[in-house]
Amino acid sequence: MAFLVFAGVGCTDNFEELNTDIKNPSVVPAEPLFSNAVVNFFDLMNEASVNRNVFRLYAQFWAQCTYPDESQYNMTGRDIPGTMWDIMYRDVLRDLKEAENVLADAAPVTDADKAALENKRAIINMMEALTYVTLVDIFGDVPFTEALDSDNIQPAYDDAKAVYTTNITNLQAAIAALDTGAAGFDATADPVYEGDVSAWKKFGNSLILRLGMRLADTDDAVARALVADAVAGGVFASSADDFAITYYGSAPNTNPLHASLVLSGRNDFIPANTSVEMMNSLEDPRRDLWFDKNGLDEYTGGIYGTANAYTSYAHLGTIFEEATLPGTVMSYSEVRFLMAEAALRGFAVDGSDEEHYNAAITASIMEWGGDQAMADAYLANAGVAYDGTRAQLGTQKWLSLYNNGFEGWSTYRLFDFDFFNLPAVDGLTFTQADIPKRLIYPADEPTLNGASYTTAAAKYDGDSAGAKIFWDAN
Amino acid sequence: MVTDTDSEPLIGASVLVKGTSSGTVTDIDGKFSLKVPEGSDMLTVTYTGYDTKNVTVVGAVVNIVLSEGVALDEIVVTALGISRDKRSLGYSTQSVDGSELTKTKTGNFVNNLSGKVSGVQVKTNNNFGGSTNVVIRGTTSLNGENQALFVVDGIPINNANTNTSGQKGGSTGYDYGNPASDINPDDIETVNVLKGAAATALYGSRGANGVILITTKKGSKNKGLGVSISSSLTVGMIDKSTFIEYQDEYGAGYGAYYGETGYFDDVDVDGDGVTDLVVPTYDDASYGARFEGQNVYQWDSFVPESSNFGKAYPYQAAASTPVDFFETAMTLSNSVALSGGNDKGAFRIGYTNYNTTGVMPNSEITKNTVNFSSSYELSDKLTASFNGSYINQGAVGRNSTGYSDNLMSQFRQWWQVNVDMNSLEQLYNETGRNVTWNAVNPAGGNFAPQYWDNPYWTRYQNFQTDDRNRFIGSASLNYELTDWLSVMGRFSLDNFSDLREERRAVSSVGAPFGRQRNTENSGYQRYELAYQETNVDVILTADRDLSDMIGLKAFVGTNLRRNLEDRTLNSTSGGLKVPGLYSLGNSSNALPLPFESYWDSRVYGYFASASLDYDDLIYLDGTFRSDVSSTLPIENNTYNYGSVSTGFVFSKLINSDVINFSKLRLSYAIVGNAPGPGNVKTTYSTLDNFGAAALYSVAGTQNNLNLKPEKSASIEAGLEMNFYDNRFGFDLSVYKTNTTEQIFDVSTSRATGNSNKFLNSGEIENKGLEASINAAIVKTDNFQWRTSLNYTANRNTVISLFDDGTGNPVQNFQLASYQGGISVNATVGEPYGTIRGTGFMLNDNGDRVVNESGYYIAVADQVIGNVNPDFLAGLSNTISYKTLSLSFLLDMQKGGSVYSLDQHYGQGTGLPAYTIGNNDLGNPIRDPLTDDATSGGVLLDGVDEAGNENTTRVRADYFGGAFYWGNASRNPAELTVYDASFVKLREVALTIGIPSSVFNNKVKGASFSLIGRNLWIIHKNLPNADPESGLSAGNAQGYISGAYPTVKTIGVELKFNF
Repeated sequence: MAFLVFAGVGCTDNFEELNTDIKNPSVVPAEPLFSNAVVNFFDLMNEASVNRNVFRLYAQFWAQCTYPDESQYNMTGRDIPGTMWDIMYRDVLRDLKEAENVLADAAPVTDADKAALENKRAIINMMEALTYVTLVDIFGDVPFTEALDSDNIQPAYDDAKAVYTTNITNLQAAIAALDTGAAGFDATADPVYEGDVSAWKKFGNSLILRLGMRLADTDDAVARALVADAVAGGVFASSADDFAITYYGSAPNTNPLHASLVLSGRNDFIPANTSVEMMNSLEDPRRDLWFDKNGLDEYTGGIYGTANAYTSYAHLGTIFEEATLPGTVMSYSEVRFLMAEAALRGFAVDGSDEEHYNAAITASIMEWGGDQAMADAYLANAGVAYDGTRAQLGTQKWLSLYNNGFEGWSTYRLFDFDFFNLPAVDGLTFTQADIPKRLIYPADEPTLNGASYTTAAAKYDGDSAGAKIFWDAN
Repeated sequence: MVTDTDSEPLIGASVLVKGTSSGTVTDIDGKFSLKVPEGSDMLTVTYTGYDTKNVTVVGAVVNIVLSEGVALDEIVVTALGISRDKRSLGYSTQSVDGSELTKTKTGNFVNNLSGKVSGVQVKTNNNFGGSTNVVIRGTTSLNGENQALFVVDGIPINNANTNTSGQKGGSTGYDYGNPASDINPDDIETVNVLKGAAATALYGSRGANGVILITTKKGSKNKGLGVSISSSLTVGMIDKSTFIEYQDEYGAGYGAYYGETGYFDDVDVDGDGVTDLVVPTYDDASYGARFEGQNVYQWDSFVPESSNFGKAYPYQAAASTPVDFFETAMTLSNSVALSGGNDKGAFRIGYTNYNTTGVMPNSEITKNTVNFSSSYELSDKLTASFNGSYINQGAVGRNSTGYSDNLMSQFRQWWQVNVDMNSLEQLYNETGRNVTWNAVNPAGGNFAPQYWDNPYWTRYQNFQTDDRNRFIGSASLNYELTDWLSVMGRFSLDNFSDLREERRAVSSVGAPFGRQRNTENSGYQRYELAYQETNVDVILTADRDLSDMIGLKAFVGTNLRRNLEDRTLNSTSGGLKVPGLYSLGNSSNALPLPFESYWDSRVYGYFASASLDYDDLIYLDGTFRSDVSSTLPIENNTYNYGSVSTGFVFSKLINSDVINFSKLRLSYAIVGNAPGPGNVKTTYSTLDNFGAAALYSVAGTQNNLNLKPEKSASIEAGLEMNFYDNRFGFDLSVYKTNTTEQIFDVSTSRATGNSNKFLNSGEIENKGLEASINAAIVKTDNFQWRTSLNYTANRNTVISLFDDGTGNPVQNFQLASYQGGISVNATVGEPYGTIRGTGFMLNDNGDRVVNESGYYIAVADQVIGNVNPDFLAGLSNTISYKTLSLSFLLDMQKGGSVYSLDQHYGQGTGLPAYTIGNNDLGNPIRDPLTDDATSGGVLLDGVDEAGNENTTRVRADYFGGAFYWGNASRNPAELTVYDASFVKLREVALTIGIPSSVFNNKVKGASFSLIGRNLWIIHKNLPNADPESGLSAGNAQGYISGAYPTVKTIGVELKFNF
């Protein structure tokens, strides 16, 4: 027995080894962490699942069929804000931070490797800035300076504008740090630009342009400076420059839309009357590219905010069902709309507002397989031919963002549309003010991060979806 | 030889040399042989249900006659398999005889413990072959294991719930049961339940949840060959009170928004240029048109094989409903055992074949068990023993659980009451295709399922199978060093491999499936689990009288434990290439990266125990155990546990004719609950590649480099008394257990970059009262009526949780969140397991407040329920007249709450009978709201904000009205929270003993029984379901989604002994 006892004691030497997971890595390179963050960000922004991304509904591009909860702005039945927040922080930002940590420990030898390392770091920083400003665009104040620290489980929320300002500075620094003569990530690890550093640079400037225009209503001087800076640095010059991920033909690497529209086997979504009727009135050629009449005489959109019989309305076209449809977060067409708006506001950009407007619409039509003739004809239609009004520009920009629900909804907020439909829910009355201007905070933040949450919520009428974030001034 | 007062042999009576642990049990003829050490001449003979007798040995042959009584003096098995005289214990244990577990067999003997042991909550969840939740003395661990430890003949066996998190969380998956169900009830001699920490302290870091000790049947020495045979056949059918009662007046749809009529699509089906009415087959609700026999095209009008093909036919409630989907369950169990022995040794070999088909079509579980036990005296001093069971269990067609892809959610939540079940069956059988009632657009030629498959297709095509091969065994040597000192060495093994295969046939509706949990229309998933636990125990035992008055029994020992767990899971992705071929190679897309997990963990324990008795009057026990565990941080991996207990048999001091026995018990103990492997260091998560790009992610859960085991400190007091010739007796226990150093996987704000973090913190307190009362109400030669009551009341309080990192105590910890917008929580100052969600706004009078539209005003984040029952009780009765005996068990729970997602969605889609009927004006509630006396709608029970009775009716003519699920601000989650109380007639058995003379004495004993189980739910408050039903065993209880109905079984059993 004594022997066994001592044998037992002796054996504890390997206990640490035994309690180490031998099926998952303890050390990984930066690349797969970066790739994972990028894929998660693009997936989330392109999602149509009602559990994760409902912006195609909030932009009133789509209506729902049998289950209209989300188009009636129910954000609590399913914790959509929570899912979005979780993915942004845990699956995007945390992995970007980890990639940065791994790079910090790297010891490149050659100059080429050193330059590539700096480029990788800058690209990671650009993704971080993009993610934080997107979080602000969605929620308003969010944790930033105290975020991503597992030792601080109650991170404070930062002021939305401060998060914007810091991240714009970080973004500018990252753009400046890019060395277009050196390599970036390997092509396989960079599913957006396949390692093309100059493409990342154009994206960085285009993002600065977008952020500049976000601030145009609230901080004219900063907006002008950012726009000038962006244009000088070089923004997207064609649709080939789009900030878009290339999806694959088979699950799980398809465009997430394919999962919602095809793989699910469900018929939950149809084009909404809000956008379809607008396009009908403008005789928009993109209707033929985007919709299927479903045997009806004309394009008929489902009534936004109520249940609709799938059989009674136009359907989404097969183009949205393609597994390999690129997942676009920012397009050349959007850049030209931003330039048009800048020009309209008298900001210093080359070209007139009308030129940019026409180019933007043309790019949008071409993006979806239309041709120049189609665009020319459309641009001649009454109501489409440029009239120099902000309303027209906004409406066209909104339509062009049909497959970018988040930016479509942001456009609604920036241009202050008054033509959105109100949901019809028994026992409740909606007004335009009830259309969400932000997402409420995740359902578990009040319990997990109560004090910080309460402070932030107070700035938004007690965490109201109708409260506006800082750049949404009007 | 031991006999009863009628000279009938008592089989299995315990005979012990008084004051020692050496003893034996009587064989089938009531005979025994025992070596009585020099200096001892007293034998203690005990037999359940009989009075214990001390007999002085005179000569080689002793005949002992026991008389019936309520005996508490019995030999019981205690921690680590040590036999003790129950009289000497300073803590509570309670035994159940093996025959009690086979009276109404269920395929999981754990179910048969329900109501039979105080302090134990057994919850059977109605899944076919499903996992049973067994919690002793309340939930002590916030987030860790709370299930009792099962030990068979000294071998700890695996009872882990290995269901997926999706299954436990209520989304989708199968319930693979609790593996302790592998133990064959026919092989069980007795079950002894160690309830408190003092009883389990020798199990150290796995003693916190109580222990269920199983002793299997053994052969007896000095006895010829004995054969026993038993055979039972039972049939089962659903208890209709646990299934939905459908309304039968309104058909398919969500409301009046289809086509010209509002309720039907307008399609020119017959091509005559006039549009016809077509039922919206694609919508899975019954808020549609009133059944008026109108001729409409229905789902099967478009199926060429249907007799309704091409026809519009009268719209009416279906003649056959999902109630008709359930089949008659059938269970056949055959068992044979041989036993015998000579003067050196004994053996027993048993074989049992158990086969059961469930109430769902294509469901079957088959179990084969071979059990062998033997012991042999190699010399006067050396005895070798071997015990082993081989078990094979194969299952086909376990039921899917939870919300998605579960037939019960189809039937209870998403159904059209115009759909005829017999037609679905007939068309599936005739075509072999997935002919569904829920086609996307059959009039337009799209027959694909929208949300639901034909349920027969689901059962016969999308079924799972699983197979488990298991060996549980031990080999031991016992050597008597001197007459008072012996050493025992034992090696034991629990080893099994489990293969689980899940299938989805091509052309099924998409559902989350496989490794990636993507929506898949077809696929194959394979999960393999290999598990092994080995234990080496060496125990040195001393047993001697220190003086005439003082006896000592002590032991020291060591236990070396090793657990190995190896799991892999993979599945096809993107569907199957070739229909009907279920192999990983038949994947349309590249195979996902597999899930792999491998853990090897060790615990080395060192223990000692000493028991002193003073003149059989006062007993004093102390135990100590030290555990070194590989699952803890290496710097701090040793923890100590121990107990002290005392028993005071004060009846010895009282000279009373009334009181036969009385004992006071008192104990204090500290036990632990160690974490599983892999919770110290954090690794990256491996994700599927994106094209050629590898993906890794920082793990969502941050592990803890300073992890400690949970610690339970427990104090217990008890009183046992027997009166009137032991005809009446009770055993009372009170206890208080405080469990600290709770290990929890704390949810953190995801803004930290993690979802969860492992912490040691917090405290839960359980205090309770247990009582067992036994009475021989009538006791005559021919007629007896014995009754026993087990009562359990546990009160649980969360004392503290953890600090938020800034020094503030956190008040709430979410244990689980569920669809329906509810969560189950641990909140400081509340019991573990409060259900939170939107609640009613109540005014000062406690009335529910409605708004100006007549809807309830809801208040967010309220405590709307508590899963803990107020008390449990089981009342057993056995009434016997000569050889005829009737026994029955009433089992009840008072209090506790349950949230029903079935009701939440089911009423929201207009399925249950209460969604129709007339309102206060006498008008159908499904009529539209009007301003006059013709108004439909319902008047919700409540008052307006001024306190006046509600007079504003709300709509009930479409899904978005009074029963809507989607708007918690006016239809709070509290609407579908129910009281979980029940009273059940759990078991009934009528047994006729057939005298040997009938068989010319060729048969020693025979009996014939009529048996019934779950025959009657006498009382419950949860409509349309059994309040015991749930998702699976585990910490998250109190939530019902896609619940299966309770099965009532009746049958016959025959037993022969040769």
